[in-house]
Amino acid sequence: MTKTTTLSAPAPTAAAPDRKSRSRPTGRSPRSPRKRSSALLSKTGVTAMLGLAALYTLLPMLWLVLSSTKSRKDLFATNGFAPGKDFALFDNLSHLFQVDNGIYLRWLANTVLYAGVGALLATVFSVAAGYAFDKLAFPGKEKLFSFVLLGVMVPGTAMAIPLYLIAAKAGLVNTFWGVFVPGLVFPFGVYLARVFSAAYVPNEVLEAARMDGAGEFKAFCRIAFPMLAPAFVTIFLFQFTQIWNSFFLPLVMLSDKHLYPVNLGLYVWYSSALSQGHPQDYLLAVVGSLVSVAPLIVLFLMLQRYWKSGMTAGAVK
Amino acid sequence: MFRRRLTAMVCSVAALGLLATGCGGTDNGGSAAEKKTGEVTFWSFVKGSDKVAEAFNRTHPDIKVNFETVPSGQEYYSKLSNAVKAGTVPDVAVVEYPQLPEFATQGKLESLDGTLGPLVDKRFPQSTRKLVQLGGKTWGVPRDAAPLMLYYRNDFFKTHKIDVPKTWAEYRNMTERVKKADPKARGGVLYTDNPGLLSALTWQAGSQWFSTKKDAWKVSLDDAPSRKVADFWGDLARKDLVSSLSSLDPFWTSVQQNRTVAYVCASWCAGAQQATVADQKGKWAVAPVPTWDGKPASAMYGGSSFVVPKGAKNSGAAAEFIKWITTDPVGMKAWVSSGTSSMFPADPELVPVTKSAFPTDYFGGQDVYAVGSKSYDAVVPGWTWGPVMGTTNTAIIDQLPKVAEGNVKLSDVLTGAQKATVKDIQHRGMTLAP
Amino acid sequence: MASLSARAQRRTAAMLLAPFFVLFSAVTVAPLLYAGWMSLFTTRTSGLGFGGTEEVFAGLDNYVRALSDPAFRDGFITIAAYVAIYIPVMIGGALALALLLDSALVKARAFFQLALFLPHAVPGLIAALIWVYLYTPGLSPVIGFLSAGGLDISFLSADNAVFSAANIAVWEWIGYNMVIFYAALQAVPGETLDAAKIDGAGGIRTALSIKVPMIRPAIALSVLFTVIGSVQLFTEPKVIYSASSSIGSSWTPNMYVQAAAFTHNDFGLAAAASLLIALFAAVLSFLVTRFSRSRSQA
Repeated sequence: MTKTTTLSAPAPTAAAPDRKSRSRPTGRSPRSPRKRSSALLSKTGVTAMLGLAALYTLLPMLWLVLSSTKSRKDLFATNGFAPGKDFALFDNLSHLFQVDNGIYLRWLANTVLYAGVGALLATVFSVAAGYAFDKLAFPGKEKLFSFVLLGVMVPGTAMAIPLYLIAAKAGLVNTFWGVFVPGLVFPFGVYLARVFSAAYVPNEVLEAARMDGAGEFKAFCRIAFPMLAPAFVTIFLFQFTQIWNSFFLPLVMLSDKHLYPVNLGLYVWYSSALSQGHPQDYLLAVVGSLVSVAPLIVLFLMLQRYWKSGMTAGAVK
Repeated sequence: MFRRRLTAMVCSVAALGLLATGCGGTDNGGSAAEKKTGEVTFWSFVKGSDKVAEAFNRTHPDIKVNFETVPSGQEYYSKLSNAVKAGTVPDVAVVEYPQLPEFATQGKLESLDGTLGPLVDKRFPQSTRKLVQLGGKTWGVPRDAAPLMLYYRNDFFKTHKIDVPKTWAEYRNMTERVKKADPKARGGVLYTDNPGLLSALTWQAGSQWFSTKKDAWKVSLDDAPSRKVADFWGDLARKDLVSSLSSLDPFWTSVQQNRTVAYVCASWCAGAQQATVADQKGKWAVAPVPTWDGKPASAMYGGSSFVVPKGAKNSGAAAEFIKWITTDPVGMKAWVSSGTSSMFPADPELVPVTKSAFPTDYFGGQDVYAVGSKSYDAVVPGWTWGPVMGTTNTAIIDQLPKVAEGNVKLSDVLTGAQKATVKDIQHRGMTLAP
Repeated sequence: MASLSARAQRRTAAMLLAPFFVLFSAVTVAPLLYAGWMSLFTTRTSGLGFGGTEEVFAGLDNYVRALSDPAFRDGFITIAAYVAIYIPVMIGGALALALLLDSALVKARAFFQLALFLPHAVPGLIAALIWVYLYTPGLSPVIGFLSAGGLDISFLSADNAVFSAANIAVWEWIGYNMVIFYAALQAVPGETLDAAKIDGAGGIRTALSIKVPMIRPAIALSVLFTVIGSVQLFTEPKVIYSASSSIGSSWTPNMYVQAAAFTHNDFGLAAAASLLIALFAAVLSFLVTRFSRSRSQA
């Protein structure tokens, strides 16, 4: 039995991505700067290396930011890494939010529903299933689990068409549910949740709860679930970005633009802009992308704070 | 605490989920085809489609057209294709000419013989009819033609005393002079992502990539005229006399930055050019496309038709709508109501309608439509597109960028595409003429 | 344990598993079976093709066609080359960055985390636009800069495509993996590190000999996920393909599937090929899991 997982170092056999501050008692609270000296690892050295990496990730983004501030003429006429002659960001933004009766906001709202609510539910289902696989005894467990793993291996884009044909039979094509329901399933999340559950939820805590007469379901909700909060966040983020970036499924599933997620809407603008002679849509796609990055940044910042707090410390005591 | 609230929320959500699934799985509610008579669903990516639908609804109270905008390109065609498979098709959809035979040979279109066939016979010139009438049936109604023209920077040509080429020999000469006058500038483009222009140029030279002999397809992508054109353009590209660019952002950037001062394109490019590179107003002019022997000859690059997909629920009203948007003057006017489209109607009688809506100041007052009309009249008859254009086009596109790199000969690209096309036609069970 | 408890566990397990499996059956298993069914058929027509089509039972013909198509097989070679470059760069890079962030020598930690993660938030379409711009000769300031320094690199040629695709993927994912590693590093107990410090271990040695082994499970998981993702490689090469088609439309197995389904309208072939990819991924991930397990037990 893995009873070592409570207070000692993480057992290396269990793979947990962001195994966190479980062992808080003795120190390393908010990481206080520790003095370590090395010829290479000076403060400037480390910062310079990170700065270089940040340059690599941010420089291409600069194109997006600068392009969003340009007029249509400057977009093609000026260097992508130089500002345009006119500063048109506000014009572009107001155009973005007004065009087609504000359809862009609608797309954003749809995306929040598809990705936000979808990933939330998907995470709940995954954590519940993963926990059951880890902690509960039932027949055929491993067979069932390898079945789940099979779901991880199937290329998602290739499944879009059979899924579409099935959805058509169920009458879900061109409805909200056609895109939302597939987002609720995240086999990899079940796998992660099982791994997390093994690492985070000590068996003796459950045993204690059972001794106290708590039902299994109650033990899961009241005791295990709070301990799995970091797992929850990780799985949620995985699935959220997956739905946020999904393209083929909404493309085949939806034809009513009021149901589009932002990704597909931007693609519709982009794909016809230059080939069909309305280049203003090209700029819309660029500005629209910049704006659509914002919610993800906010989400990340929010969850970053969440990561940092010692979630499980209280529950273990 | 946030955590506790989250937990509580999540648990109640979980309970809800359990309840819902316990009660019998995913829901199957939703739209169960509660179609009212007179409703027509309309898929299009063509500019002005929304305006046309609105105008139609205003003038036809008995039919209601619901326009749904779709992305353009290969994604759209697979979407439409799957919709037919699933039985969730629109009543009217746009299909460009090259893609039409593939849809027809896969049984994905309703034949229009009983409804719009006679109209197509009556209103369109033979060369255009041949694009939508295949195997003795009418599969779509042409909207626009896309006759070739030469676009060039009048100011650049004047400054450097370059003549507008009338033959392809002169065209080559022109590209050399352009490059000499300005080492950054080029007098043409070989698109690396789009075989449409290349096929148009072979069409103009008298090639017939596809034809039907009785009950069999004949494929000749690498016939003599085709090879002549391929060798000519392959050489221009390899010698860097024309640039090799993708037809989208890179191409328009090169125009905007004065690096492309002449190019061959269809009539619709006039509107695209004007909209995309608005500040070069007055600097551009159009001319007839150069020919091999100096006598007028042309072909089409692009152009679209409207079809009724198999399984459409309201094909009667759909036909009515298609008729209006392709052959009615009021309908035609609605297409160009935004004023920046240089769409050239496939129905020659309607040319004055679109012509009057197109502002000519961008081209210095030049009568762009007159050039277009001459070109349309000179389109070499007999061209038809093939039944596996997806395969044919991909086979060409996959090799095109290598031509400028000098690794592959353009005529060999066509030979490769020939092989891929023949193989696919055979696989689908169609007959090939010897 | 008493049988009462066993029954309670079974009942609760059923309750907890039901939502996932009901949806999983509808959204994954059913389409998978459907794809398996479709992979046994092919669409045929006759003559000119205007007389309609019929679905013909083809047995394993679609599988044979996929496996005997050099384009499909070459896709796996592409993947192998890609994995050989991508995995070390991605995992090594993300790990290095996480260790740097964790080294307590760094200022503006939150800024760097966000900056490195940011590309992951960029919609795929725009990532494509950006990289097409940066890779296209004549447009790209980067290529201009490099060639001014005497370095002529063609990012879009078929020879360099593996590198170019890996670069886009690294750009998109390195911050993501770094965040995962960083979170794992945060959990390394302070006492262990303090002990190392007392023993006189330097920063780099602490990082390599103490921190890295302690987060090995996290690394193993990332490797597994990255390998599975690599087998399904699609988005990044598609970007390169849209800028220059010289890599071909079937450069990776997943692109092959896409081309079969969407440009050749050959769904039987597409279904067969995608099932073969799934099989390949399953075998590969089994091997990776085996390998990392034996390593971590060593």
